[in-house]
Amino acid sequence: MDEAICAKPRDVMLIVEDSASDVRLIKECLRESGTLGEASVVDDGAAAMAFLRRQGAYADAPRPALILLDLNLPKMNGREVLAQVKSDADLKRIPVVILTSSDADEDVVTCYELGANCYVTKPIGLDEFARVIRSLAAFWLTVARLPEE
Amino acid sequence: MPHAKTPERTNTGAEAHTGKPPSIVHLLEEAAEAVSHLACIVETSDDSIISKTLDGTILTWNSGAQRIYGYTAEEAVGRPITILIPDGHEEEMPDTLEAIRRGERIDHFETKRVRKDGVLIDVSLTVSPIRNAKGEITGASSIARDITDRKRAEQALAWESDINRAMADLSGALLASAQIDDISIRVLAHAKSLTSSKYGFVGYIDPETGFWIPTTMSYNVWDECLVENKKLVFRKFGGMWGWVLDNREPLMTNSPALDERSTGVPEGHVPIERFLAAPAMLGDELVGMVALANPVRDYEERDMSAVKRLAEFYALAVQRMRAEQELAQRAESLARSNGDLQQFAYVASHDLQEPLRMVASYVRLLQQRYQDKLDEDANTFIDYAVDGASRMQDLITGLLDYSRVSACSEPFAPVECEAALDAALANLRVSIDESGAVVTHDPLPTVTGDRLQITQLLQNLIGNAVKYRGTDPPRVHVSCQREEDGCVFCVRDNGVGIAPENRERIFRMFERIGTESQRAGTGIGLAVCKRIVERHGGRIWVESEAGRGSMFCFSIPER
Repeated sequence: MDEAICAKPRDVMLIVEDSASDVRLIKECLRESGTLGEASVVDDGAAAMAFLRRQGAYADAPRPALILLDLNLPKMNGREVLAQVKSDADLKRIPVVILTSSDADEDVVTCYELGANCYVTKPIGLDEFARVIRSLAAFWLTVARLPEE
Repeated sequence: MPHAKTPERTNTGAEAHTGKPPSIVHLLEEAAEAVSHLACIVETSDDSIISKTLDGTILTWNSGAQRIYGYTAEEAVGRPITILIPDGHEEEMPDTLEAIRRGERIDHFETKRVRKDGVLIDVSLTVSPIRNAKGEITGASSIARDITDRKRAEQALAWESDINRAMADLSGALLASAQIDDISIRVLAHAKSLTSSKYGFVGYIDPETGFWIPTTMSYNVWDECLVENKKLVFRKFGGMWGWVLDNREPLMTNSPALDERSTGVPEGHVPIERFLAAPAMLGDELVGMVALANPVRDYEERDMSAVKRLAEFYALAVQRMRAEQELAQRAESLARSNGDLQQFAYVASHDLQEPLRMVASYVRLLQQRYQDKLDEDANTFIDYAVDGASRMQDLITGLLDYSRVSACSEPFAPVECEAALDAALANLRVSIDESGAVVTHDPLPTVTGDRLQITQLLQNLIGNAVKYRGTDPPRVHVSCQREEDGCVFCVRDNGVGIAPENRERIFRMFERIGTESQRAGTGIGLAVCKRIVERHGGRIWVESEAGRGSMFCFSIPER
């Protein structure tokens, strides 16, 4: 079997999401699928950048293997976070999955233009939501081959 | 022609019978008789009959001449004919006499003459040469008829016709929906021309401020008017035009300086020599005014009546303008409130989705995790909660679809209906496969519209046909017929059908036919269809009977 598929799931995922209920829902879905390694959570855009750049309280933060990014966030919105990550030489290789309730074409286009690796609209039903989260985790953390850090 | 009547009279008739040659005396008597006869005719004529020498000296003067011109024979004979010629007509006499010398005759020449009392009259003149026994021209006879009354009647007719022409022009302009400014300009032009006025203005009262808005002013008024702040003049009604507005009555004066209603004019204002104005009234309400000044002649009653008629017309134009403005305002506010409502529906349904997603997700999670860990009641309650949340989600999705028809519409473009149908069928694949439905179709045309909306329209109708199926597997056929002004599409099924009394209801929002347990539905799908068809300028209807299938038809007009 291909080495990448057999590789152990990369541990750290950063969830940037301001809704506690959504965070819990994502975690529950990941737990049920057995793919939840260590998920870190920040609830605003500024904290996300501090985490990624290991600034302030996040000096010891791990480097995430995947970022799940909501678009509507306090302090700095998801588009700005995306733009900063993708224009930062050190961070731009980290895959960013946009996970949002917006299904506006405009948001989809903007996000891909800014360098998003994937855009997903949060499914409305729980079962569908769980399926999407599981497949995202499976794809990005096990199937996709990413550069070694 | 002064003459003496012959005193003796003999019986000429008796002598004529004798056959003897007439005597000189007798011939003279006969001639005198003829002259007397002619003189009598001349004397009793209504027309003025005058003779004059070739240099224009009056020789004879009948009583008709006295009646028409006011001079007696004693006063006129021996005086030059020019005493009858008014200013401005001096050239006529030499020309006439010249023609007479050439032996020409002047027939029914219409001109003006002046009476002894200075009043001008209209006359029709016929002038002929007078020859002596040798045939030499020695003078002229001039027969004049007073045609002043006829002329006046003619002028009155012409005036009436001018007014009628003006009113016809204005009515045409009003019918053609001309703007109030244009109407004002036309009213002013006709008013000035009918009354020979040099200046004028026409305007209306702003119903909100009560200010006077003179939409037109003779252009030269502004050029010659040196009043500093022209706007100020119209805040308070002043002077004679203010009197008209305040009293709602017309005003006419040929000597404003002596009129107590005049307050003079502001410094720099064109001097007002004569003034005429009439208010435009709608019932008791003052809505505007037509005002005129400085004609070359005095204003007369007929000027006043013309201006009153124009003011009446102008009131109608103002009424029309107000009605149009009101209509436009209502349309605008309706459009705005419609827009607000659409925006509200969109935002509300969109924003409700998020919290609802949480409720639905967590009750579902509860159901999954605790199904067998709680008692029977708990299971029932959770099931109801899951079901309610799920139906709520369907409703909100439907509402969002409905508000998106106008909120997220694309500009119209050519839409290949076969491709739209394929997309609709792809979206419906699961339910088509599950039900074993067979969907067939005619060749479908290309129409002008919104591709996504046409797809949704077909998808909703076919989806309904599959959902409301009878006992047999659903058979759905999509047909299309080209009509004069577009295409009519029909989606026919073999489903449960619709009772006639429900054919209108089903297109209304949240209306559902049948009980909840029978069919799952939100009652929005057909409302969305109706909205899409209406946005495309078409019509949607259903032909059906309960138990015999239904046929939903919609038209998409040609663009």
